Amino acid sequence: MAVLAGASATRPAGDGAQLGGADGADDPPAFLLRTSGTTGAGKWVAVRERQILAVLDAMGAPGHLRHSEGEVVYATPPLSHSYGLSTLFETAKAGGALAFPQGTSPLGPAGDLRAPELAGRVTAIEGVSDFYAQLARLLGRIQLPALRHVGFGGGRMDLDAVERFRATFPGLTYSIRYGLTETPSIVSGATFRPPYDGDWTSSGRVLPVWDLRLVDGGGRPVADGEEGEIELRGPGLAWPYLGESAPDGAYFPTGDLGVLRGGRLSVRGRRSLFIKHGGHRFSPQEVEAVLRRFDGVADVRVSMGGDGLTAEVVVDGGRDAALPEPALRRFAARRLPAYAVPKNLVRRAEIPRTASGKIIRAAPTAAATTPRPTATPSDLTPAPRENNQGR
Amino acid sequence: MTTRVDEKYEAILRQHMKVKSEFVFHDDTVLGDVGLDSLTAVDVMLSIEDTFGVTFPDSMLTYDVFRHYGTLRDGVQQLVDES
Repeated sequence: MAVLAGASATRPAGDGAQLGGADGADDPPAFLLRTSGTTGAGKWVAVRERQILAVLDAMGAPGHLRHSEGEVVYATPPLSHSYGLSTLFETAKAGGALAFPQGTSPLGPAGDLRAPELAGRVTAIEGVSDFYAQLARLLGRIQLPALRHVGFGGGRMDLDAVERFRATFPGLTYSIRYGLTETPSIVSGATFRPPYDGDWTSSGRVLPVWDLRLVDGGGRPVADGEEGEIELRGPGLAWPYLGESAPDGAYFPTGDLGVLRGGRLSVRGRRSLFIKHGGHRFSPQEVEAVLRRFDGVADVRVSMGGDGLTAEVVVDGGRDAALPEPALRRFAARRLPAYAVPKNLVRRAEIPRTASGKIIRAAPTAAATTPRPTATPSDLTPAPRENNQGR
Repeated sequence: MTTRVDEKYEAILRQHMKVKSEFVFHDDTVLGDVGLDSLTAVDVMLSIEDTFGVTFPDSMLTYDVFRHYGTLRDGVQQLVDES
């Protein structure tokens, strides 16, 4: 693939005609990825080589996320997901090597990493928080002597997992990235090095390749430090969607809410998921992140139902384990503003998630057991654009 | 005297699998059909190790061992017998 050469590629004559079709023979897509889109309906994103190269070149700028020559990156996101594909491009351009989970362990990608030939060589890992939460539980039995870097993407950084990593592997660097299927590689990224005194809620500095702005509900740009919807344009943007059109120079509305301060972005969450309660607006993920830190809570989903703010809780210890309601309420009240403390705590056997691990957001029920939804083709496509929202 | 693992082993699986209390495990019950995925496998493994004071070697962290109720139980029994 020409992009792995790290230089602008010239296609042999006739190449475009085989791939371009209605997209134009001289600018064909290099990848077709599916995303849920801002409306929730499935959309196809056509990613072109020039867009990938534009972002990769920007990542070479000092101070931005980048892999390096000689790295061996254990890439856990699938290549069907923008995060996995981005890791492939970034590592290959930097001259590093990639290793992928082989599916040989019943413990999943964390178990595959135990293979001695792999564990002894891996210098960096890229993965989502659910993977790291599992890997963190196995740290006592996995030797990773060459590990130098842990990269988070595809959602919120799991700070509990980071704490376990820091206790086991002192001196690592950590990174968090914000990107979307429509943006090859990343929009912004942050790297944390010892003594780890940076802002772990930040998604980092926006790459100079992006023209990013935050707008209010009326489409007006907001001031630095104010929350708004993230909109983007630039040579790296793979939008409009296949079969759709947009005016030249239009900004792409991401549907994510964020705050920009001095060039550093903090992503707060999906605008469509925000809850309005008690005169405030907040992301359910912020409440879920707090409740998950309670010892004994395995999983949680927060939503606004007809009876008020509700947290559906999966408790450690199996189907018969009791919900520690009083203790969990006290825990929440000490750590959350009053308007964000759930009124209702409902025990559930599991929280429905897509095949890629994203919580399925639906009205809560009082049912104690809920079957895991059967994976559908839409569940097997790249995860929705719910990328890093910071903390 | 050999310590049988059956009761405690079954209790661990019931704790982590998506089965009703009246569900009956058989040796050929496919654990993947009753809720064993990679996340649950880690929970089951750690519970077994804590309960029986054993450690799964790499040679036993395989799909063959974790495939059926009986194969995993036999693996646990082997570890207990050897400990």
